[in-house]
Amino acid sequence: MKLYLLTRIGVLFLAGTATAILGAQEKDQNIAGPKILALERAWNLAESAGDLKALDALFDNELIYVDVDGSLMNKTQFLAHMKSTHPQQVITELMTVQVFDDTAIVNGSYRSNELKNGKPIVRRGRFTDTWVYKNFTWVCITAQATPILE
Amino acid sequence: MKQTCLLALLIFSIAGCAQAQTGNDGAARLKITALEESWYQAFKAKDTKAVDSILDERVLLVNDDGSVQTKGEFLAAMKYMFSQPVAQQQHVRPESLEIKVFGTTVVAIGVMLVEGVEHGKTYRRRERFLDTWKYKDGSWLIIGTEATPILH
Repeated sequence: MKLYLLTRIGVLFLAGTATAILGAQEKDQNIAGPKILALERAWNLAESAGDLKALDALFDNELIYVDVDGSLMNKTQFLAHMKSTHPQQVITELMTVQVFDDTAIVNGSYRSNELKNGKPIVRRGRFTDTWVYKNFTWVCITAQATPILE
Repeated sequence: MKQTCLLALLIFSIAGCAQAQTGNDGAARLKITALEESWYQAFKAKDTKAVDSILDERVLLVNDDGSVQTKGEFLAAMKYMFSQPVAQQQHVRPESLEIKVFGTTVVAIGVMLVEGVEHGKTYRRRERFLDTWKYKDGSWLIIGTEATPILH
């Protein structure tokens, strides 16, 4: 019985250590950086395709979204907004990621091609997204966009 | 009996951890509220040193016109603005603030009223700001910040 308990404790300890090592690696700039940039690209694709399920998976349930007009939305409101609007083509022009342990900040600029009153318009904006490493995965907790005045 | 005791111990431990987490969240919430206030006061007092102390070295600041600045550029711009006559300076007044805690990362979101003079014309606008704070080496620092004009 004692041997069984010790073995179980040993296995749990090793599993815990392995998880901690993997978790630490996941938060390394060189590993997390490209992963988060890939998630940002997945977001763009999902938004262009109107894929709400894919978007839902990228966001934390506590998402705070500040739209380009300064309006504030939570995750449910943002997904509903996505559902009600025409899919738009968003092209990321520039993107950098900085990892701070279990948190990452993405800064970038984008160009979006939209239709307004039936006419195509191009908008440029700057964005800041915050990602956190939670339950062995990166999720977006905040996203904000600001128009670039030219 | 032993199993019951262990189960009870486990439940108490989990409850204790949850309580500690809530307590930490509360403390972080209070701390960030105070730091947001100190940032506003530092700006009002033209204290660039105090602003310097709450910005992480790697932070990128996105302004309300979509321009982006490094910490050095932002502090230099602040110093330049404060060297101008008072009438030319920008004035900021916070209207609301909400804090959300995500472990050792805290998000402060709010609305501020910004007044100033641009190209000889006065402006007054409301902006939504979002600051991301991270607990690093014993202190809280801003690692991301952006302000967006509220258009409606």
